[in-house]
Amino acid sequence: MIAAATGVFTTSDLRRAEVLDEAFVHPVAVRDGKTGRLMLMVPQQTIDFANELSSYTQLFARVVVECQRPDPSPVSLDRAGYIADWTVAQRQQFVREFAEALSASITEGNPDAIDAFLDYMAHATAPIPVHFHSSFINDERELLEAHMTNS
Amino acid sequence: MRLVRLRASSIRGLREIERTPNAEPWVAEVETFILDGGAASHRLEPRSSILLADDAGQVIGAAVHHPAAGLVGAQYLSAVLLDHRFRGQGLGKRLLRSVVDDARSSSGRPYVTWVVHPSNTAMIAVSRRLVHDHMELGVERNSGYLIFADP
Repeated sequence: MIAAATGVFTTSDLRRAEVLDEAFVHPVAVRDGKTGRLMLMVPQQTIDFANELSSYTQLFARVVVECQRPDPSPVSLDRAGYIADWTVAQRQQFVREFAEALSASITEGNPDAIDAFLDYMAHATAPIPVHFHSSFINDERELLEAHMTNS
Repeated sequence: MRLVRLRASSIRGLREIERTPNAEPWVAEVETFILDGGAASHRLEPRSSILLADDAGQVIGAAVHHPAAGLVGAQYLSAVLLDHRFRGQGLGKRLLRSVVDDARSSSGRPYVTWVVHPSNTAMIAVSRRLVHDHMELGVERNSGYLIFADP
């Protein structure tokens, strides 16, 4: 997000390395020393993030709309198409958490939070591998029951 | 070290954990389970928890626990992962202790149980130091995994 220029410089300041360094990272305002005209220089990464954010925001809007329907369209849900088969309660949780992750991305100025959220939740209805579920020790359950009874 | 529950906005913290180079298969299994979304279904289950271990702002590990199926008083610790860059510094025992405490307090279940791969000598040693001898309950008959319980 472009909040505000972090500094105001003149065109002649652009010869200074530290001014350029700042302009590569933050938006800076540059004033023409002769005419007084002002322009805003914005780093490419800020533009890229703004575009990405716009895509995520549009996706969020589509998810909210689709989740109002009894039968959401995986096509409209695009990258979040995996929630089409989820229960209503699961989809409601997903919308709430999407909002939280999107908000974090906006605040931090990078897409990592929302990107990681969408990737991770794609696996949320996959079966848990047998080694990682308590049913793995079902055959030994009597050991635990005896322990719990005796301790 | 402190444990924080994995939220939608903090899933990207898992990306800070580095996979073990040339990992043994049983190590790679745990890393894949936690880092690639195998555990994601626990995010839709309110009685389960995915935890991030944070040390001075750096995510150094993660863990998962959920109710032990068919055992009313027990929570099952299905995975504990310490980033390979932080092993050998005594953090494993602190992590396991913290996760066991969290599993008990957040679930309200008095018993916590977990299994350890027979080749995971470090985790076996840590588990034996953590619990008393009588709480090493036995061995899963098909796989050889050691079964522990606390208390």
